[in-house]
Amino acid sequence: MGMGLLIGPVATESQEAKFPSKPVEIVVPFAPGGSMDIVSRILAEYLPQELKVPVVIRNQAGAGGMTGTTAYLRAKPDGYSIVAGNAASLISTVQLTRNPPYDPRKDFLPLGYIADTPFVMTVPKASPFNSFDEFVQFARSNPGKLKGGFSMVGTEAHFGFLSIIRDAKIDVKQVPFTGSAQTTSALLGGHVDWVMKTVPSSMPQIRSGDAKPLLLTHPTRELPDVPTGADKGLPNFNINLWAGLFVLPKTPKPVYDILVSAIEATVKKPEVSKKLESIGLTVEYKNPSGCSALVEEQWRTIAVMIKEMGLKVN
Amino acid sequence: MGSWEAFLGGLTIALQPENLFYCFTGVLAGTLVGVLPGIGPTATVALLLPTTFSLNPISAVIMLAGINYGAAYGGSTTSILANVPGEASCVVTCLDGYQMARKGRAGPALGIAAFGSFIAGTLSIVGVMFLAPTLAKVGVAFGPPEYFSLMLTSLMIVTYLVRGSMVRALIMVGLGLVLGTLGNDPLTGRERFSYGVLVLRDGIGVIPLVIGMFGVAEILGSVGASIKPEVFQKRIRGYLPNLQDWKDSGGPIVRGSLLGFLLGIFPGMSPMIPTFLSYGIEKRLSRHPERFGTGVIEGVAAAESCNNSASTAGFVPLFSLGIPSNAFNAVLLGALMIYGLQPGPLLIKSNPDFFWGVLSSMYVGNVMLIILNLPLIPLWVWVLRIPYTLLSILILVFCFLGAYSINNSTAEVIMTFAFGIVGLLLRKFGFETPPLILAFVLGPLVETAFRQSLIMSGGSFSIFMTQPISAVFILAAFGVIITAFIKKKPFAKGIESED
Repeated sequence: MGMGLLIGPVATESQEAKFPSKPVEIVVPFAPGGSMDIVSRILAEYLPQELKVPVVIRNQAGAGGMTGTTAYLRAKPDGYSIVAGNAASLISTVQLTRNPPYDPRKDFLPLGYIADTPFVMTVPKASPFNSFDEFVQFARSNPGKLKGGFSMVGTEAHFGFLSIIRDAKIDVKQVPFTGSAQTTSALLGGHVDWVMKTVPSSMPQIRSGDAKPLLLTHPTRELPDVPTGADKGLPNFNINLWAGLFVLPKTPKPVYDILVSAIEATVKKPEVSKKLESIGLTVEYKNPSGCSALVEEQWRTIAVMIKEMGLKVN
Repeated sequence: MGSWEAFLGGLTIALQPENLFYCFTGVLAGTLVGVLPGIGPTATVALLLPTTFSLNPISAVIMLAGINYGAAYGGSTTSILANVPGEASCVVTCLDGYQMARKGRAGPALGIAAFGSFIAGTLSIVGVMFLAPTLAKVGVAFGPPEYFSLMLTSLMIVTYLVRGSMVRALIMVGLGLVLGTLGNDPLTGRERFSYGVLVLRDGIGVIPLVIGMFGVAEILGSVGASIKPEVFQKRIRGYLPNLQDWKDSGGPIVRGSLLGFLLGIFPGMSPMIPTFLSYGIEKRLSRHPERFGTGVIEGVAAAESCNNSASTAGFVPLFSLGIPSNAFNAVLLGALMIYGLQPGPLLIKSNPDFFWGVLSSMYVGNVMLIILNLPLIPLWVWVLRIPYTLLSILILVFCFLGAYSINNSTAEVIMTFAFGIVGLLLRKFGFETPPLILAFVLGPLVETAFRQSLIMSGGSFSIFMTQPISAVFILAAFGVIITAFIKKKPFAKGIESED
């Protein structure tokens, strides 16, 4: 973001000095009702206090977020259209595609990293394992015996699941499920021995005692006593479910700066963090460079997983 | 008895003027959303969610729930009037409902749809209140092998749906299964038959398929053909079901409600599946199965009560285990958390006002829906008096608007149109679409559960027989095939009887 970058666009954009002068749109590449959608809707409710214009949500779901994100590439780079992104839509889906339509490290400019929630590994109430160590010990001495489940192939949950297998050097049966509900149901019915899900979707069963949490991707205040991947020496078990906002790199610098500061101010509002926390997300604001660094890091982690765990690229 | 008192307590909450207002708003919005094809309750709830943040959680959830069951009511309207399923789960209602409308019996069809939904709604609310924790345990007892066998049995029931040639119906089943494999492999994520087209990655959407094959195909079929508008306008025989209609519909309503409720508690179960099954079962039990599909009221009664109770049954896993069994419940789960409520077994204990208030409001809402819907029947029937040339254009516009609204993209519109043409061709050559649609919905579930089971067993097929629940359903599947052949003869003679 040197001075050279600054001077060029400013001159041509002087007529747009009063950005924004019309409603701003957030493209959500996931279906209404998912966590990404709810995060975006909470922001859309409070961003107008900063931007002084309405903020509308447009859902365009499909292909793990790739449909909406690809369509967004054709948006006008004027800052009136923003895209929501996460590790699935920007990283894992892209790496699992042979000729991906975009590269998140080049084709998108982060506005900010908003919030995240860890993934948690749980076992059913009746499970003999009360700690991650007990689980690993058993799995190592009984290769191929335990059945693990996760929701949706190619998503963050799947990569979390694979990183446990890889980093803990265990051999288990891998049962993919087609949704969080099916995964939870299989866990509670004892059809699988352990599952990987997000903290918010696991909390109802953890609170009621029907499931026991063994390991988290990152610490969370809701489960203070549960160890994390880093604690147990699993370097790749660290990808959370997160939400960030992005624009096209050609967006004029002044417009970009207005959006970045509006988002930062909005995310730091106590009402916003309270709402995000109520759906189980933790506000973890990162500025654009922090967000870029995270995308880079997760890009490398997922590349390693795909290569070493034998995932097929379409 | 404790539950009964709690219910009365909940009723006083539901009857507070404020909550009555939100309940009414919800069911009214739901009815409208249900009537419009493509726009589903899930998207509506997600859109309205932020506006409810400032409400008291009980009022908010009363309204959101109202949208859901209101949509299940409203979806039947366009199915009956225009052969356009307002919601995917109302596709079965088209089969006989639309034929009834063409015979001048749109009124009784709409009436029985409303009453059937009311009765089913009532029964399933009672079910959620008193049986939720027990049933939820039954639900989780079904793992992949059990699920596979249950779905396989359901697929066999396709044979009950067949009207004409069994061979042609099985060809349709095959086509439905093939269409169901399009898109990402659910277990490995590999793309299948998507030819690099991004929109095909998630496979074909059920809404473009049903709107296309029913609504659009119907309109395209009328182009050039001499569809006589008189069939609609002549002899409008009454606006409400008569005594004979009630006699015919009683059993189907009760059986449809029970089946919908029992299958509705399974996560990931589309309400379409129990609805097709209840229709198939009614046809099998009927004294005149050959008349199914020509406008018999039992077909409408079974389908409408079944899809209503299936949509209510989704609350069982949500409230008792915190498992959202469908997309609507997933949105509701998010909403509950925003309001500071934690779904799951603790909800009923820690927030009894909420649990009982919402359930009682659903009962109140069902009463409202029937009051709201019955006076509308003459209005809907009057819509059929619009010249068909004009009406068909309107229907087509709503079909494409609905298809566009699914994902804000033209891809769904193109698909809807393409399926309209395919549906028209199939119809011209005497192929029936219902077996195709049921196979399309069931295929991915059967495949996923089958492969999950084999991963669990390490490749051994014995898992389907060593699990007792699964074994029972496998035997049932064989039973269905065998009875389908045994039934052949009496069918022709027009004799009926159980086995």
